[in-house]
Amino acid sequence: MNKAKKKWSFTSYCYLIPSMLVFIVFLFYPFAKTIYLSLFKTNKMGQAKIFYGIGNYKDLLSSPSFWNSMKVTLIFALIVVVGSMLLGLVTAVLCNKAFPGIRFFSTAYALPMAIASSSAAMIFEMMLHPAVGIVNKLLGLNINWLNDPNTALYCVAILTAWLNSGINFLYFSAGLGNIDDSIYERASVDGASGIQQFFNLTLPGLSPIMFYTLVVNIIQAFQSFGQIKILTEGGPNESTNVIVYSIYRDAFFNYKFGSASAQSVILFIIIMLITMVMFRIEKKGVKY
Amino acid sequence: MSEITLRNICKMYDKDHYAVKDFNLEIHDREFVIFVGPSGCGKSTTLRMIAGLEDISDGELWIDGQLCNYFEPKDRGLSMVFQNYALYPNMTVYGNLAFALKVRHLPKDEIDRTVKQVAKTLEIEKLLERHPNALSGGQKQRVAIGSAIVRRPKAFLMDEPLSNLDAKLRAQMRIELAKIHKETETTIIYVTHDQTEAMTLGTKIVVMKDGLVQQVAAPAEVYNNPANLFVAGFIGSPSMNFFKALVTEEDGKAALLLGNAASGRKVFLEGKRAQRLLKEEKDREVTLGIRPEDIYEYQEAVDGGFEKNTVGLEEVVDTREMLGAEVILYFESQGKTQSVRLKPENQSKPGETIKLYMNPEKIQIFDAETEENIFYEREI
Repeated sequence: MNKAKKKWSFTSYCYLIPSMLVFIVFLFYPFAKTIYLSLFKTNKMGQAKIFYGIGNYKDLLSSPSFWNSMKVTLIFALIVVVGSMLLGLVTAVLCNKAFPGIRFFSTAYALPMAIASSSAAMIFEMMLHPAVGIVNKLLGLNINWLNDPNTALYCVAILTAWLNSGINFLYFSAGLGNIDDSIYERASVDGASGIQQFFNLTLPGLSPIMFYTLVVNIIQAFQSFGQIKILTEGGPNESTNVIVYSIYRDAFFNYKFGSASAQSVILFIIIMLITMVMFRIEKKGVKY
Repeated sequence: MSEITLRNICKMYDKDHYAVKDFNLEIHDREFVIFVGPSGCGKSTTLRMIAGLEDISDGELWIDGQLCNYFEPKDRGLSMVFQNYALYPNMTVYGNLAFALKVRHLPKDEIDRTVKQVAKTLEIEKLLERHPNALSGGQKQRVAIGSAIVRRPKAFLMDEPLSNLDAKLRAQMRIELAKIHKETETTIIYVTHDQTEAMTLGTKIVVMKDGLVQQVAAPAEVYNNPANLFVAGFIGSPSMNFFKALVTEEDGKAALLLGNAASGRKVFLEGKRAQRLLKEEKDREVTLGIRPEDIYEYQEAVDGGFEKNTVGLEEVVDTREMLGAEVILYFESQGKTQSVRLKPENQSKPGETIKLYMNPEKIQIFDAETEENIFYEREI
């Protein structure tokens, strides 16, 4: 115990200064400031003017618009997480075998990772265009995808799922590479079909990385912004007004920095709770 | 009942490179067949072709009268033990043992009964709830073997199953494998590069080199009647001694000159073997092979009255290895290290000269070009 204590020294802390500075300037200070602002009414410049206590939170919890945002966010996150993970998993499993042209497919499946969400959004906007878009042309339909409250959220969510699938493809490919090939050989001699091998060996083998990917995906889904800003701007009729977009709108259009800060704090608490629950479950769920 | 027949089995990875060429073998019920050879000789590839993990490039694989070339591994009714055990890391020992039965949708109580019975045979009952990463090498090995026998397959395929174990454990598992073979009454095909395992476990040994079968025979047969120079040198430890020798005729006997004629280093062969040698190889150079235990001290041979050649071979001892029940002396001859296995009473020390006697009845002669054993007697 004493020995360990002696090793604490001023010099060792000095090495932490550069990274701590970055964290303090870009993370801790804004975070503290957000909590602070959430307790005030602000002026147009975002300066705290009148102390409002938990008033901002009270207002939010009684606002139907906020509850709509929560609902939209949850649906959005659910579609994005399930969609992007399924897409990433299926493509990774497909590309786990050597065959001619594998590099082309691997690149194609990993590509969304490299595309900026705004450019992807522009492409989707074109594809979903009611008059000239390829989606309506192929399906022979006449739907105004992005302006119909019934479809807009799904369109944005599917685009986001595809965007996020690239990195998942990469995670799952790495995870699959870690599974020993000989257990598949043994399983095939043991009499397991491809599907049985997938559910008995591949999925459990991916469970450690699956957990990590899930946490990252949930956080990512909750924080999606660019594509919503470009495609729907929260509309039509608030049907795609996810909480991050609502924060943006309250802060920079309505100049209600206090309310925006309160929403940020609530979003933070939600993500933290989900992550904590996930880690609790992990201890039971991931087997080795 | 299980009969496995391999007919002209070939494995080609590219056009003119054979990994396995014209492999012919008949495996009868309850045989313990060993594929042995140096690494890269195609023994594992052959085993994997039987299992269905590798495609057969050419030839026919028959299992119980069915042509199985294109059967999926799961439809061949075989089970396999891998070198790295290939245990399912996410399942307990119980899950590992039960897997092959579970995927066949057997009733739960039957699976339970079989698994517990196998666990009892292999003495791993206490480990059933553990995961593979909490097992020692020897325990993993038992689980791997257990998951293979749980299904009562037509045959077990084992790919160097003992090579990851330490020497003591390996010897112990070797004995247990022999026991399991006896108890389960199943055919076993076993791949190893360790000739001790081959000799002790096998009822039939297949010696391979460079994708070609060199000899198929019972262990004692392979040891005493090797088909060619490679088999003679590969099986046995320390390995057989080889000397270059010139075949000449002296008084109707075959004399093998080990040096120039003046040195007088020669060995005589008599009888049928001499006739055959003179007929085939007179005045030609051959390779003489003799096992370390078939060389005696000259004096011992004279005292025993079975000395038949006129001169002993004088050699200078290089190294002495005392193994307890025997002593092995190493000496240089014809630029190669040779060895002789003597009784532990022998006191020769490195640097001393020792006079040796080769038992002519145990000498094997190999053709210098084809490397075939001239005295090899083909089984009928």
